[in-house]
Amino acid sequence: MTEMATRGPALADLETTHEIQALLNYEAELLDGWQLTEWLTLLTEDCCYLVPATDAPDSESPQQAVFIISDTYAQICGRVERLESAMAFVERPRSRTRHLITNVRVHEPVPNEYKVYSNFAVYRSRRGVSHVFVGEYRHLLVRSSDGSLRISERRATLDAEELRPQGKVSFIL
Amino acid sequence: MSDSNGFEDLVVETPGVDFRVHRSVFTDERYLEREKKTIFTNGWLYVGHASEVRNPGDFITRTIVGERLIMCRDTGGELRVFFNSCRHRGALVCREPSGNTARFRCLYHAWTYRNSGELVAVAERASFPEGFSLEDNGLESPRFEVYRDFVFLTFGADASPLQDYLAPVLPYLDSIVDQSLTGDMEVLMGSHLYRMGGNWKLIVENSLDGYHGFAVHQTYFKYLAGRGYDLDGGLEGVGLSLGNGHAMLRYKAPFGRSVARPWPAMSEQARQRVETIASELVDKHGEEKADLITKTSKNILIYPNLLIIDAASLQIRILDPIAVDHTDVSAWCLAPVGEEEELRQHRIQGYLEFLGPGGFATPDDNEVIEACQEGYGQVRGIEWSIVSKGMGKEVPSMTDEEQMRGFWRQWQHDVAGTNEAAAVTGGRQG
Ligand code: FES
Ligand SMILES: [Fe+2]
Repeated sequence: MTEMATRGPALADLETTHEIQALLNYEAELLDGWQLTEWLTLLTEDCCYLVPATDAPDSESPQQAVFIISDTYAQICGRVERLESAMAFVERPRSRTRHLITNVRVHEPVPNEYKVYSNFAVYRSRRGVSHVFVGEYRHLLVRSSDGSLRISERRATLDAEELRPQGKVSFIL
Repeated sequence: MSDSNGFEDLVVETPGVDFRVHRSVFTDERYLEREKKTIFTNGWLYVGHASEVRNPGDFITRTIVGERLIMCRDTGGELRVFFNSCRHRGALVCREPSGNTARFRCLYHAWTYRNSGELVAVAERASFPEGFSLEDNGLESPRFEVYRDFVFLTFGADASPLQDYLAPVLPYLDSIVDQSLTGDMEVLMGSHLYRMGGNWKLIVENSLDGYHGFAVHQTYFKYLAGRGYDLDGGLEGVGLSLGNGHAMLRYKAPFGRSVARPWPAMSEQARQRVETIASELVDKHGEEKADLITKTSKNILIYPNLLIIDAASLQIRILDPIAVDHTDVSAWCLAPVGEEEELRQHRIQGYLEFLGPGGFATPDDNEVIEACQEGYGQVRGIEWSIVSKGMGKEVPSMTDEEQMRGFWRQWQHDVAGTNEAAAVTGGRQG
């Protein structure tokens, strides 16, 4: 990963790191609780949500390469609306998910903008089968005028080389 | 019947009246074994697209029905397909999913092959007996043929030439490739490699099923409506059994298409570009053919396991049966080489909104397929599925099931063939 070489150690101050960890944990809680409308309030209105293809995990260009998910904010809203409907059959009954987040590294490339890497393991149980999705998050966070942090990009890069056996990413990873 | 082999009467048709499929074909290991020895040995199976190995030395590796393969372009520029197995004692000679190399060097004892297959280096060569020669021990190729950059192989010796096999579906395959004015198409970076918990034939049926959209994909259409699409015209078209097991849906749909139908969100410039491409295609191919290329959506089955979905985007999808109740799906987006950035972007967006493991529609199809598989159990209950919709109609519509019947007739013919090696080739039916 070429980007890796330029990351360097994360040096944000303790208070900010703590605040960001709390945000990531809160996000996970909302997702695991299927409180998706609430989750949307954590996002900026130009937020994008990316899950790269498993055979092109480093791809940075959803305009030119095919991702598994490359949602604009409008698509994220469409995704949430769909998942809230009783007609999104793949999530009815809903998956039980558990987002575990660790190794949080906070970078502050420009003041009040944070690039946050973390490791995730998301367990998904449904209809008698459990699968685990392991990978790395990259959250871009901005501090809005009211002082709160919001997510302006959310990227989940999977370690698996193929989405077998997991099969689908029908919940919010 | 004295010569019964147990593979007859799984698909039962009373012309114009009834068509049923025995559900054990989705659940019984014996039938998967039989399919592997007949259909998946003697049929032509899609390996990849030549654009995936555009430059000399480029290679990809792929697993097709349990066989590990290399597709590459050798240093001289020729496209090759090899079994990915060392002539010595069999290790994979290439363990990367893709890359560029002049040579494949086996990791076990370092036998080394050129990317054109010749064995060029054997360690301690003098220790092998006198009759041993490098020339006789190059990488082995299955029989393969290429049609307009679509690369197919067959594991059987008796298959008819690829073009004969494809003949009934060729005009439609052409209409895909001709999206590009130069006929130069490319597979985009980023594959969807996922799995469904159902028999591969359930996915064939589902991919050719125009009857389920209103029930299963409501959320998708609602989403499109919210994005400014005019869905009033709905989907309208026909289901066709083309012969040789090939089948398709051919229809008009409200999706945006980068070759014909602008998306609501497209810029004026991109709209004009779409119009220009459409008129250039008319100039090149005439109205009728151009209409098939541009304004007509198509879900095409190239028997047995290749699907080309030309709807909101353009997808190549292959189904690999890994168990009687599990199928590995591999899918790629196909696009004209040199497509304008905004059109390309819309093509990808249209792709992801519907298709793939994170799409707004495919995951619900996945649910349908698993629900069928689970519903069959071990077929101690209801034994037969009904596939008779539209029987007796002169022109079955896309919401009928004639296109599936075309697949099933060929499937029955092939698995029932008395000679395993000849089952697929020994006379096809339409
Ligand atoms: S198995 Fe390849 S060199 Fe021995
Ligand atoms: Fe579907």
